[in-house]
Amino acid sequence: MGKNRKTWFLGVLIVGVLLLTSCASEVVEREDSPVTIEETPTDSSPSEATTADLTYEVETTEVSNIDDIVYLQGEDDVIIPPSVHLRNCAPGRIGKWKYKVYNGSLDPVIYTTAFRYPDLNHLNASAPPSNISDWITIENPMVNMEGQSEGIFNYKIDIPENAELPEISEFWIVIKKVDQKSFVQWEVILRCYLYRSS
Amino acid sequence: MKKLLLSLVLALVLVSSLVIPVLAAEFEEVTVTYSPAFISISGTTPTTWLINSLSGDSKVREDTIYYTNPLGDTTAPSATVLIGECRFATTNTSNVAIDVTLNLTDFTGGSDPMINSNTGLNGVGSYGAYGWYTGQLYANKVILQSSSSAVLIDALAATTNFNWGIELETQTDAWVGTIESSGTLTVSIMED
Repeated sequence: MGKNRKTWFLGVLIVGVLLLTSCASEVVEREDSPVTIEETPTDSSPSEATTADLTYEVETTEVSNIDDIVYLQGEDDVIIPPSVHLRNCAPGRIGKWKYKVYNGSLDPVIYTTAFRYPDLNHLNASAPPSNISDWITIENPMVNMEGQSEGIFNYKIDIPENAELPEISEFWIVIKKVDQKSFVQWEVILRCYLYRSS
Repeated sequence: MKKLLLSLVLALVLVSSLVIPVLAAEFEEVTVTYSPAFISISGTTPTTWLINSLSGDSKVREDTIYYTNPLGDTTAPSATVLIGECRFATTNTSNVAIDVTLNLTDFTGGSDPMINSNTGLNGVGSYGAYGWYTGQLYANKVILQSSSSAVLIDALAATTNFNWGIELETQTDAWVGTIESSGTLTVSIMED
């Protein structure tokens, strides 16, 4: 066996060892990691519900891309979607989501958004931690939109290391037009469900 | 020696390609999914209400119940509320069932601020208010609070419009001045 062949064999051997080592470490890391990225969300309703009527129906057709939600661009104002599901939540983790607004009028309007602590919670969702508003950042609290055009609001939740999370909790995001002067005004409240990592 | 170095570089590239996805996953820890639906409202008409001006003389008296009833400012709705008794109409083209909640602020800015008692009952310096809608038993009218009112319409079916109204019982004590106050009625829409 010549020197060159020896060197080549040694190189291949090192590559093989490194490959095996890296694969093994990745498997170990994934097994230990509490994070699971799922293409299709699973039903995470609590199995230990203590009351029979505490049933929570998780929609099985949730989508991961907001642009997959189809609506008619007519003269109505549209807020998309009505609810967001934040799963695998745990201290130290970060999540980002967004809402789409369609301005159905022909005139430009300004929409605004804000966090709101819920008055009441849906079905078996609990109240969120009292300081949850501190965890949420609204990247663009106002969006100026031309007539019959779309706008996007972006949000981020940064769960602190010392956070204590209920199994499922709910908080609200409000979206409304800024320029409402009349006696009757309207707003849309969007439900955000936060699921503790199991 | 060159081949050895080449092999090492190749190994590093391969290892990096395996490690990077794991690192990337750490930045996507919270999984986000969306309910494939939307809320669509084309607004409420009309958006105004001047108390006691539908058929009355527009003068607002103390300790009196006023209704947003086109049939009469002091006429209560029927036992089951009729559409003709509802001043306000909201067009709903959402593709999900929705809950509708009404909140009514304090009346301020004038010579006689009038506070929402949040109990449905009036008192000294405070008013009581209720909301109702077409088809509802009037006896089941819902107290309007300045915030956190109970849901008025629960699980309204998708693409269903709704007609509704409110009533307001003015404060028990006499007005001090003549400058009018104003409040805001907010219609909150959310997925059921």
